[in-house]
Amino acid sequence: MKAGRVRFVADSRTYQRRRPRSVISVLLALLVTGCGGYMAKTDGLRKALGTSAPNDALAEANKALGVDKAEALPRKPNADTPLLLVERATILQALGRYKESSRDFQIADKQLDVLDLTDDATGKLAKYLFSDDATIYKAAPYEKLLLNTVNMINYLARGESSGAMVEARRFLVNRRYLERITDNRAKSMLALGSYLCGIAFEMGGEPQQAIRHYGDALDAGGVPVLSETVASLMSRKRVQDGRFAGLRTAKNEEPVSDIGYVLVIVQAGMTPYKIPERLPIGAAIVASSDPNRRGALSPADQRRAQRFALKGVLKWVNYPKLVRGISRGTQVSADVEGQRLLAGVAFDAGVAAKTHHDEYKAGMIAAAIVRLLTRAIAGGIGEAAGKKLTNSGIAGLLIGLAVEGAMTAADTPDTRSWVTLPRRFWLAYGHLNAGEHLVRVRVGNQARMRKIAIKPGQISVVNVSDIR
Amino acid sequence: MKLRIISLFAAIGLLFSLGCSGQPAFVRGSDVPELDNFALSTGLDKKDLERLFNENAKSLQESGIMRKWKRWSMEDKEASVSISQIANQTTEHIDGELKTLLSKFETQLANSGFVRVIDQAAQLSLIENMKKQQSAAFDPDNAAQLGKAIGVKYIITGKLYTNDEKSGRERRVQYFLFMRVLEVETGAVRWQNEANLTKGLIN
Repeated sequence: MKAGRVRFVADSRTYQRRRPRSVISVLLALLVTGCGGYMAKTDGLRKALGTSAPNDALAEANKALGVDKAEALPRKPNADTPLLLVERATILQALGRYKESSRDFQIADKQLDVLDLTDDATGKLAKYLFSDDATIYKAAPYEKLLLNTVNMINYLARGESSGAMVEARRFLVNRRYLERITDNRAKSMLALGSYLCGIAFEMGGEPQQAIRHYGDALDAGGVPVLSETVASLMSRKRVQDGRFAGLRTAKNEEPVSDIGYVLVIVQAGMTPYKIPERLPIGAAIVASSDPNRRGALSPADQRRAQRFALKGVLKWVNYPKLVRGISRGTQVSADVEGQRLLAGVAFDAGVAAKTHHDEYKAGMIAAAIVRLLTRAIAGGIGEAAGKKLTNSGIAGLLIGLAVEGAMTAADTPDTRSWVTLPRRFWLAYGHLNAGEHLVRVRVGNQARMRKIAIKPGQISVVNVSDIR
Repeated sequence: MKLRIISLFAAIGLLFSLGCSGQPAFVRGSDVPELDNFALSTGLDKKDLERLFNENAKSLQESGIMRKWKRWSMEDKEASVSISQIANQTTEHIDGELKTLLSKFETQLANSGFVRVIDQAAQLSLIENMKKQQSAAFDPDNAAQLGKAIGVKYIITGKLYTNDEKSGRERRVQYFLFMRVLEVETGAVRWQNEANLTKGLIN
């Protein structure tokens, strides 16, 4: 009984000592969960676009940007503004508001840096993944290249070759830069961009440049309608590229004067996005300890983490987990007055996002563990330092908690990514008689009609990106 | 001890207030003479356009074709000139700036009194057609064809292109403005010059 009372007193004392900590911890937890980060901020627009309601998505994007209309730009931009402008630009493009979409893309393009983790020490990865949501987002290489690619579509759909060629050149500059910092797997993302560069230069009356870009698209793995596009260009403009030597003999044909060309671009589905995920410490140590993975946990840190885990100091780690977006399968078709156009998937952004994420997953979890270890140690140091400064246990504890709280807040995973990016890009190509035509695009059980004017010898581009 | 804590919080408060006090304000170039001297982007601003323009205009002023036009002017003959367009072959969306550059060139030529400048607005549809095939406008044959259609003796064309490089956060854009005067009848190049400037983003 006595022992029980002693135990009770001890528990009570512990309770009294812990009360400020508990209250502050609850407040901090509320603060951290209250600021749901980018994922929470863009949840509305992502869901609206995902249900093919781009007008609602636009209203949500404006709300997230703190403006009341699509023409407006935020008066006080913050760290999320460039990425939110990319989201709004994508939505505006889906609505066919190409000029406004270009403006938003261009502003964002100048502010978004590329994430370069070539020499990725865990510290750098950790900074990117956890503390940097207070700074401007650093785009993944595939996102940066797609930004120019998707903006090129804005100009192509309006028939503005000059602007499309500017975006094509910007794509080339980024491509050259990214080729230095990414490996060969990145090549797959270049085929669509290079193909559209070719279309831009063909539209701008520079066939020799165009065929060079088509050649680059071929080198990067090609796109479904590449050979038809190149055969048509070669027959009309008498240009050639060694990479299409076989094609020239096989498919070269005499140009027909009253024929024009149509390229249909369909962007459907939603790319995977990131959510904050809590992972038990044991599972986290296992997932991050593969020495063959980039930024894996060092043996010393593994031992430290296991020690802290056994003491019960570390229980969970937070990291940005990639979750599925919307996949539309392959049921996409385009036809003009009953004539089916050749079509196929040119790029799968979902695969690119997953590949990029998987490459750094172990490193991300390792970085989360290292940050947590640092936090635990810094919390202790803060408490000791506070005690010395104030000679008061309670004040010292508060300072220690403030340090720990600050580190907890900083450990909120950065869930930013281009969430409105379509999952897949389809291309359809064909030739039509000069004049007005109706193009019908089907994605699953939804259809869209677009009117186009075909001019002899010229390419018209149709974009459909409002069916997700 | 209390004093030290109060001082610490006071210092933090002061830092916060200093950090938040910088409110942006609109200014006039006449009030802030240095305003035009700062580069705010790697695009072209007024100062860059003036530099590119001045260099090419100076070269044209000193050229043989200008001396010929002056001589004709004294003999009561007038050369008719049109400026077709300056093709944007850069990595920047600067079509608006190029139109400004073109207008400056046109204004200077018109005010020189040596040549008769054909108003571009009068040839809008032809120019629009050439814009559809931008590079074609710079091609001597096509420019000569355009000149014949407009009914001028000389046509001025140009192109602005860039060499754009990037490394990490750093970026360098080298601009080259290439301009030429073509004789419509023969397609011969009577003057050409290239002006250049570099802009960059450095850490």
